[in-house]
Amino acid sequence: MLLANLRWGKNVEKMRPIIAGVFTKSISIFVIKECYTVSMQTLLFFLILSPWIMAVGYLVVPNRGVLYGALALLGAGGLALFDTTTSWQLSINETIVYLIAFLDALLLGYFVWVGYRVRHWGVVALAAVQIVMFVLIEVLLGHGEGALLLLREASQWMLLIINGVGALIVAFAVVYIEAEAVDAVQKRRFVAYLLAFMGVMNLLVLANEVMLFFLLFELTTLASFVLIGFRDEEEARANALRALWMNQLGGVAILGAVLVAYAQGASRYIDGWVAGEASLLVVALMMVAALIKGATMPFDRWLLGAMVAPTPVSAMLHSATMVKIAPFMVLLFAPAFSHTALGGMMLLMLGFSMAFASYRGLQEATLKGVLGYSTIALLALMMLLALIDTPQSRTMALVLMLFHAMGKALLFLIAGVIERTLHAKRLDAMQGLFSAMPWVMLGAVGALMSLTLPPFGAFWAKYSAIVALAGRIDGAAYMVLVLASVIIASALLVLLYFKLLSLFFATQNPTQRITLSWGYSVPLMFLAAGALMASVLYLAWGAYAYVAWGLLALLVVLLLLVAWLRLGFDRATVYGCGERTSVTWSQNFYSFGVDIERSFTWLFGAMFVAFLVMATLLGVSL
Amino acid sequence: MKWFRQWAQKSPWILHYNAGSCNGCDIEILAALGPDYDLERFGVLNRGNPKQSDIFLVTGPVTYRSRERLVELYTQIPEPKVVVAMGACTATGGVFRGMYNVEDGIDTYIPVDVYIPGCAPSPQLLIDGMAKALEIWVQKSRDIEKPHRLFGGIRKTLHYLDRRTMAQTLAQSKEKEPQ
Amino acid sequence: MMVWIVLLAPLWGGFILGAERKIRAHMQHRMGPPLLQPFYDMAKLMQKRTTIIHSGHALLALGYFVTLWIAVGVVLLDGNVLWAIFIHLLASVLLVTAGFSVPSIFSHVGANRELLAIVSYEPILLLLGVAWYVSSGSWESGAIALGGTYWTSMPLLGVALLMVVLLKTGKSPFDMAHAHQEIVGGVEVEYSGIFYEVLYMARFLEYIFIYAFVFLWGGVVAVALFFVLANLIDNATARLTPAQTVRWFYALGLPLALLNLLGLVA
Ligand code: SF4
Repeated sequence: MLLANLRWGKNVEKMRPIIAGVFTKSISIFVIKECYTVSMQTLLFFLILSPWIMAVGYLVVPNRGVLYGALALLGAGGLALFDTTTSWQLSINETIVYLIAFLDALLLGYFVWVGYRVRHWGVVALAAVQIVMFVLIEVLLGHGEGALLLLREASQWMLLIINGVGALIVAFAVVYIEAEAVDAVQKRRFVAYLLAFMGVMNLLVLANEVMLFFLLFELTTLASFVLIGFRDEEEARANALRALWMNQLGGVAILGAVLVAYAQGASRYIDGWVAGEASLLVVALMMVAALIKGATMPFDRWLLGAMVAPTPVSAMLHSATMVKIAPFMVLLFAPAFSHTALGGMMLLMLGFSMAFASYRGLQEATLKGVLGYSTIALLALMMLLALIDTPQSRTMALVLMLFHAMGKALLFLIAGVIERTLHAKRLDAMQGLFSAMPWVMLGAVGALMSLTLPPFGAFWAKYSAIVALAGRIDGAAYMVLVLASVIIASALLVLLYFKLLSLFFATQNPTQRITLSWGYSVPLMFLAAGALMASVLYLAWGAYAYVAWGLLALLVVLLLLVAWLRLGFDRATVYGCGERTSVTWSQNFYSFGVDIERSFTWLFGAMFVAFLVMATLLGVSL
Repeated sequence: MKWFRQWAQKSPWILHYNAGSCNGCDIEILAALGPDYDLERFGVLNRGNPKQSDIFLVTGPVTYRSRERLVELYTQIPEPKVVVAMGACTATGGVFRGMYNVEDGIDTYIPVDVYIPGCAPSPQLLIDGMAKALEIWVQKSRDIEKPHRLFGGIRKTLHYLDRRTMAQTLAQSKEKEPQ
Repeated sequence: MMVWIVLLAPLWGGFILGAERKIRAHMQHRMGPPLLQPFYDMAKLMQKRTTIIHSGHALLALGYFVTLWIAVGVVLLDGNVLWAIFIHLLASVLLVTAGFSVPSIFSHVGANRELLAIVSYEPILLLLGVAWYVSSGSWESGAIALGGTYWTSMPLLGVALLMVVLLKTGKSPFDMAHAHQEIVGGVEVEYSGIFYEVLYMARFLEYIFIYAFVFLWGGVVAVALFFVLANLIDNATARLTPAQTVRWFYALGLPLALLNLLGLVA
């Protein structure tokens, strides 16, 4: 009656210009005017090129002020682009094709060299396989006519995430890396790598020609390899190599897809593939690449290994950029196979992966480990939403991507702050952080809430995943399993997130207050304000707006009260059975036992194999 | 306010503390809570938490080990509170009187309102003592109650909400005081 | 009518709690406290001096109470059941945060157990919501109620719901989260005076919330039956450990719910 007036998702579209508008204005009125008046093409080229220019520029002239200004421009550019609704494309031409082929060859050669240098024959073998396939493709496949770059709806969201959140992470990284025990050139290089990574991502989300896509896909692999191995330690090197060969598998899958597409007479353009040129096998191979990039369950090892890198790298890889390629790819290809048996199989894999990842996180003893597993779980949810492929669930996948990027980036950066100020990585060492930095920890609590609870954006995604799955449940019994795993995963994620808090607050002897430098606190503030503001704007057009607004107002008032008000009641000591003993806390961990976990690992392997077999059968029968 | 106070006295929650008793008294307490005597029909609940209790029901002669805990628990009960000493031990030391490890009775440490005699006191006596304790509780709650004025309520609320206002008023009143 | 139930929810909850204490006493051959006992308790708590650990801790209890009230409002005022469940989750998390925010062992153990309780019951409630959606085609509680009762189509979910009722109302064998005399009430341990009163009233709201689900499932008869059954089971069983509780929910409650849902879908 009262609450049912406003239906869910009525005006979802309306929020986009608003978010863009308010954000942009909040950065600088001048910047908006600039961005609105320049043409879209200029803006896109600005986004694609400026990270590279900035990277080179920072290597040559490491001026922090200039960099901050440029980053602000970059973020504003991403936002301004988000506002436009027209489509844009760049047609292919001969020179670019040869340039791409040349760069591809160069990159594969580099992989061989890297593998040879560290005597990792897996990397070499994979690179060799890739080279053979690459040569085959270049010999066989004609260029045809099509768009080289294509601005899609998902691309606009991705550009917003990459540039908005990525810029803040880079701004944080500049300060963070100062305290690293490496020489000045290395520090500059670190920032430059991050910037270049953003450049690669900006181009990747626009790519439509598959060999360009492959090139950029492999470039992100390369960038992650370099960044993970940045700390020149034994473990870092091993993990970087693992990330390299696992992601190379994804590259092989993409090249395989191109070859199969050639054999079946399809072109080399992704929009053509989605429109029905390509068989299910091609799509499945692309999805294998997506599953690997998204660290879905049999492939989770590389993402956890990436935690040895400096924290801004984790933030960059896991929130703003690299892993988001996976849901982006699913968004691209979902229309081609969402309602087939293959799509059902993939839904099942993603659901299970989400549940198992959130369960595995319960045993992690480091903050970054917990965040890593929760990233895997939420990535699976994003891919799942994208794969359901209703207009609403597609939008929700993108909304989740945005909120996850902001919330996770905030948490990772806070992990970085803790690492720098208290030299703590393990959760046990983080006791009583709240008294040391109350505002930062309030931000952490807010970020945790924004990833699970109403009325924040990530909750809407969880909610609409349940609704969308329930909408497809009739007559499809396996959907019950997908739904159940999403539901269980969401409960487990609540446990995972909020058991973290147990140590943050608890202390008997208040620790010294730590004041953060502006370089740390400003990016944090921007991210927190961004998450809150996006929630507010999103709420205004969501379902049950009254309730949601009430909740948000309540939360905000509560947090402010908690932070500001000192209630005038008398203080008491805590109850300890009359004893006055000092207590040290430790984190709770939960497990079903090693055997069950091992059998789950096998299950995921088996599901992956089944996915491939299904794809082959369906692809051949076409 | 009148019927409110009548309501309030119907809910005595007890904190039971064993300060080294022989467990005879404790068994009697359990008996009183059981079906035969059913202490709960008076609204009595055994909370086990000082912060939410009204009646501090102590048994045993206060051994050396239990002294600190006794006082700590007593201070953690918010006013108004009533202390009931149950059994001969708790009053005087009883059969343990004069032993090397025992303080004879709890009133050397905390003020006692009701003594229930007996070794062990019967449940009837316990109920009697509870009734007495309730009377004292009502008296105490009346004593700590301040008269409320109509507009004073606003200031009072402000005081409750803001410690700074409180501190200021305190400082002002101190200034007024003759040195 | 429903608006009044929502606005006066703590009042009705108080009556339910009073009735329950009476019934339990009679099951043990005792007379039990008067029906209005919860209100007597509240009047008493208002007379007590309030002490707090720190203001955040106290305010979070208020947040828990208000959010819970909103959740009750959503489920009773024809709102979306999924919404109600998630707002209830938000309320629980606020309480957990409060529990973690003080350096008290019991509070921490209680908050950890509260989280485990969430992990146990939430999937079942959500699956129940999905089952309602499948059979009535709507997420709104009004439409679900119009679809009649669900005794015959969701018997297994009813059993699972009974387990949830036991857990949410703090009944044996699933009362690990609030175990008195073991962890002294868990998260409630550090509250006193009017802030404990807030938590006490929140308990009334929890009753209304979960029994609203029972009502949607099987009407007034089900509410009465579950009420009696829950108290019978409470009197007849001993408390399970947290690990055992989670195991029961995942080995019995969840499979039952899933089986029922499969039956509805296939
Ligand atoms: S009074 Fe008697 S029954 Fe009670 S504790 Fe002392 S010795 Fe035991």
